[in-house]
Amino acid sequence: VELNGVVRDVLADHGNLAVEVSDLADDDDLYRAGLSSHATVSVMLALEERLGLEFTDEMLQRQTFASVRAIRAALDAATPTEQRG
Amino acid sequence: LTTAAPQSDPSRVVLRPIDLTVARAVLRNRRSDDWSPGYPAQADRELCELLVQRSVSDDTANGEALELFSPHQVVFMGKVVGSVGCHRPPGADGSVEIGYGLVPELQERGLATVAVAVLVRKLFEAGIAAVLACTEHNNLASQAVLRHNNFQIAGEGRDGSILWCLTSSAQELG
Repeated sequence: VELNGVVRDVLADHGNLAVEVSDLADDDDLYRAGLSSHATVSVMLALEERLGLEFTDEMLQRQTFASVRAIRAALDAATPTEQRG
Repeated sequence: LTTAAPQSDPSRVVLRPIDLTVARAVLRNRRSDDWSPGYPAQADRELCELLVQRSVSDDTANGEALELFSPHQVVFMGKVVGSVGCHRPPGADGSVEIGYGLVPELQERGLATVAVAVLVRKLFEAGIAAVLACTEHNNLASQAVLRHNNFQIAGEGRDGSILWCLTSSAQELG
């Protein structure tokens, strides 16, 4: 499954959005779509678990999870789990 | 009256700030050698999740100002035995709500009372006007922690819980 698909699957399962993920464009604002800070943490943990990588501490900011494209960009720069302590 | 050996003196409690790396280790249960077997419990995870939530809800939250209002691990005799900390930075009224919890095997030894006392002192030194806490009606041990720190019942808290409050002026009198 390509990465965008994984992001969308995780958002559908953990994002608790007010709209269908399939109705969102890659650049649509996820917070305007109802993504809460609580759900953001769930999305983060689910992505890390599913993809075997970790967001760096510096990535844990609002803008990182603002859109499907932003999450995808952060995942491209995230660290594989086994490289962390 | 206590028969505790000097090395188990509750005053030896140390608070260690939890940063994002540790908070995520707690959320993922990536254990550290100095965690006691019962750590983390639900209260520990909740405080860590609130810290990560604050970070992902704000593009400027990753800074030194976060530290005081972050959760702290309660370290006793070299082991992490619980957590204490603020749920979020102070609101417009200058108050903060705190939470705390200890592993079951070390409860009712006065450790939580000391941990809360240390945190409250730091908060008042930083200019916080009032410290709030909520306890369940049936959690008498948690209520005792607050009573021993001179908190007073201030009304009803979230979900029907008891709301407690300690102001800086009341602490000085206590």
